[in-house]
Amino acid sequence: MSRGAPVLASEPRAAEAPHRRPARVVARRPAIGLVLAVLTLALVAAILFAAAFGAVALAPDALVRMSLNHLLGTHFPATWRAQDEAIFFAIRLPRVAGAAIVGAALAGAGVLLQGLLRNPLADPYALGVSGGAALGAAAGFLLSLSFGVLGFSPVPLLAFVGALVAMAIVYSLAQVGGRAPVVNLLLAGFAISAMMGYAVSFLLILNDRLQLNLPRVYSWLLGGVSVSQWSQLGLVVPLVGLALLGGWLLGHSLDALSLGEEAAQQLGVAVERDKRLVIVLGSVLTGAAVAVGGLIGFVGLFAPHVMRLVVGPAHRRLLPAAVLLGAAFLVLADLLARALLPPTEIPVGILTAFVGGPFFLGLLRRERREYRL
Amino acid sequence: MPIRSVPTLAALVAAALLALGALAPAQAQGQSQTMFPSPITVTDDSGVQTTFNAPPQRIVSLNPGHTETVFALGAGDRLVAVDSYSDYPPAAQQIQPRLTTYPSVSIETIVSLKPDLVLALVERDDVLVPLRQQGVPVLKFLPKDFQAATEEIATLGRVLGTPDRGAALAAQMRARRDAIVQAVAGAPRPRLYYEMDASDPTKPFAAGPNGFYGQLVDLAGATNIFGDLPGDFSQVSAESVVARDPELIILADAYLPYNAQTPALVAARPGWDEISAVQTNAIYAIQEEYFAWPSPRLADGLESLAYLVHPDRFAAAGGVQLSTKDGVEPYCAPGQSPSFSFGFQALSEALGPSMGQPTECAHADVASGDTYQQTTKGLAIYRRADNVPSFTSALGRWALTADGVVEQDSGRSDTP
Repeated sequence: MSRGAPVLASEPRAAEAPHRRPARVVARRPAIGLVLAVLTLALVAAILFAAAFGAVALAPDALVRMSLNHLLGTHFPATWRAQDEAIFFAIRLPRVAGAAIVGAALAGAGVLLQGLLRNPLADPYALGVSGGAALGAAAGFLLSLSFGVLGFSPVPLLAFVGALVAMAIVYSLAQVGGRAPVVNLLLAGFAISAMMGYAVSFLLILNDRLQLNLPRVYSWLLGGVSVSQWSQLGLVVPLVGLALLGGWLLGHSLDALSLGEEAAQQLGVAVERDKRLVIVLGSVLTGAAVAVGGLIGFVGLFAPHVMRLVVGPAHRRLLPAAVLLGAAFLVLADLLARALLPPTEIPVGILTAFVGGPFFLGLLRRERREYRL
Repeated sequence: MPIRSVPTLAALVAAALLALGALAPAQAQGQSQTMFPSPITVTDDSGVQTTFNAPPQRIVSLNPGHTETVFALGAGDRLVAVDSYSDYPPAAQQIQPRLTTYPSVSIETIVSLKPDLVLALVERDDVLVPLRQQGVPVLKFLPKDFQAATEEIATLGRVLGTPDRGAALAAQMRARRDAIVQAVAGAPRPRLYYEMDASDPTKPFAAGPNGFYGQLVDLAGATNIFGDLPGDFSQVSAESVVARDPELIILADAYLPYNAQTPALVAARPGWDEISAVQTNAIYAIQEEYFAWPSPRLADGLESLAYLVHPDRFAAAGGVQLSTKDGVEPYCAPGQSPSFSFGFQALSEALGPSMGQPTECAHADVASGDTYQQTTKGLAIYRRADNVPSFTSALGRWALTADGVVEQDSGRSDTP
C-alpha cells in the first residue's frame, strides 16, 4: 500500500471538527471489487508461499511435480523421498488450509461482534468465548475421555462446546425485559470470561497430576493451528462458510444498528432477532476457529479494523474484505510459527500480536483522523 | 557455681539452636541421635552452604526423585512430609501430609512440620529463602546429568548419616551405566524419537538433548532425532518428525492421565506411515518416572531403554533385569517376590514365555487407577477404564478380552 493515499488525505480532519460527522467519501474509496481481487490474490499467494516453506525444506520444483502427479495424474518420476510427499500432503497442506479457515472465521466473527457491540475493542472472544473455550479444553485434558468426531479429539470438541455454552450464558444473563442491551452483553461477557478463565487456573492447581504438564495446556491456550486430518476441514469449512454467508446477509441490519438500536428499529430492522442471529453466527465462527486453532488473539480485532480503514464501515463490503485479509494474515503467521525456529513450533498467538500489532498501529497513525467504527 | 554454669551455658546454646530450628526436632523428641564426628558442610545447587552437626531426623521431600533416594538410603522413616507425586516406593504413598508443590509449596506448612532438612529440586531460590530465613536447612539438589545425580545421592548419603550406603548406591548406578555404555559401544546408533506429550499430534512435545530422558537416550546408544533442540524438551512440528525419520519411537506419553498415546494412534497420524519406526512397528511405551527426575531408578530406566534400542546386545541376558533394593524388588512388600496374579497371570499363561518374567510387583497408578507390572520382555498394563489386562513388548501388544487373547494395534501377523 502506498503511503498517504490521496483519498484519505483529502478528507476533512475529524479532530478539527469533532462535532461534525465527517462526510464519508465512499465514492472515492478504492472500488470494492478491486480490493477483493487484490486480497484474493494475496490470499492465494500466501497459501502458495506457506505451502512451499516449513520446518522441513522441500525443493519447490519437486513440490510442483508431486502436486501435478496428485491433481492431474501426471507421472513425473519421484525425485523426492516418500516422506516428503507425506509431509507435504498429509501434514503441511491441511495445516495451511486450516490456518486460512481459522483466520477467515476469526475475522468474520470480529466484524460481526464489533458491529453488534459497536465497540472497537470487541473481538471474537468478547462474549465470554475465550473463558468458555479454555474451560472446555481444560475439561478435555482432565477428563481423559476418548472419543472423536471426524478427527477431532475431546479437547477441541469440548472447547467448541465451551465457547457456545459461554456465549449462551452471556446472552441469557444480559437479557433485560426481552432485550439484550449492548452494555449488558459486554459486561456479562467480560465477567463470564474472567470467571471461566480463573476456573481453568483453579482446575489446573487442583489437579496435581496435571502439574508437570502445564506447558502443554498453556501451549494449547496460546493457540496453534492443528489439522491432523482432512476430514476435520470437511466439517469446519461448510460450517464457517455458511456462518459467513449468514453474516453477510445480516450486513444491512448491522449497518442500521451502527446508528443505534432505536434508529435501526425505525428503519425496519428486527433488532433483537438480528442481534440474536449475529450472536449465534459469531459464536459458531469463533467456536469453529477455537476448535482448529485454540485461542488465537488479535486476528479478529485487527483484520476488521484494517479493512474498515480501507473499504469503509459498510458491512457487506467490510465482511468479505476482512475475511480474506484474516485468512491471508493467519496463513503467514502460521508459516512463521512453523518455520521460524525449526524444528520448534512457536504458539501462533504470540506471532499474530507481534506481527499484526505494529502493522495496525502504523495504519492507524497514517490515517490522521479520529477512527470511527 | 562453676559446676552449675556448664549446663546453663549448654541450655543457652540449646535455646539458641532451638531458635534457629536446626537441632530442635531431635532435641524435642529426645532422640539422642549420634552426632557427626565433625560437622558436614554441603554446598547445594543454589550455591548455599549448609552445615549439619547430626543426621537430619525430620525430612521433607518436595520431589518424588528425592523421596526415592531417601528411601533407598534407608531413611524413609525419617520423612515427615512428601510432595503429592511421591508414590515410590509404595511406603511413600502412606506418608502424610502430601504437599502440593504447584504453583508454589506452602512455606507455612513446611515450617509447622519443624523439619531439619527440606529437599528441593526445581523450587526457585526466592521460594526457598523464607524457609532458610526460618532456620530450616534446605538442600536444593538439581543435578543436570546422570553423573551429577549419582554424586548427589552420595552427598545425601553423607548428610543422612549413611555415607557407605550412599556411596555404594552411587557406585552401583555408575557401574550399571558403564555396563550399558560398554554393551552398546560400537553398535550402530539408531535414530530415536522420544515423545513426551501428543495432546496435539500435529505438534508433539519431544525430548531434546538435555534433561535425564535426553541423556538416557544418548547413553542407551541411540541418536536423538531432536538432539539439536536448545533445551530439555520442545514442541516440535510433525513435519520434522517425519523428515527425520526415526527408527525407534519411545512413547513417554502412553500412561498420561489424558490423551494417552498408543502405537496404533501414532501409526494412524497422517503422514506418519512413512516413518521407518512405524513401518517396522518399533514403537514402545515407557514409564516416564524412570526417566524424568534424579533417583536411583534412572539406572533402571537406562537399562530398559538400552534393551529396546539394542535388543541384540542384551538377548543373552534375557532382557532387562530391574535392580533390587535391599533385597526387596521394586513395588514389592518385604518378603514378597514379583509374580503374576489375576488377569496378568491369565495373560501370562496364554502368552507363554514371550511375556517374560515379572521384575517388579504390580503397582497402581494413583491418578488413573491403572495397574502396571514390568517384565523382562515388556510391560503388563491393566486399564481400569476397560477392565482389560494387556501386555506390550517389542514384538507387539496383546490383550486378554472376553474372546481370549487378541493382538492389538499391531500390523504384525506372527503370534507370540
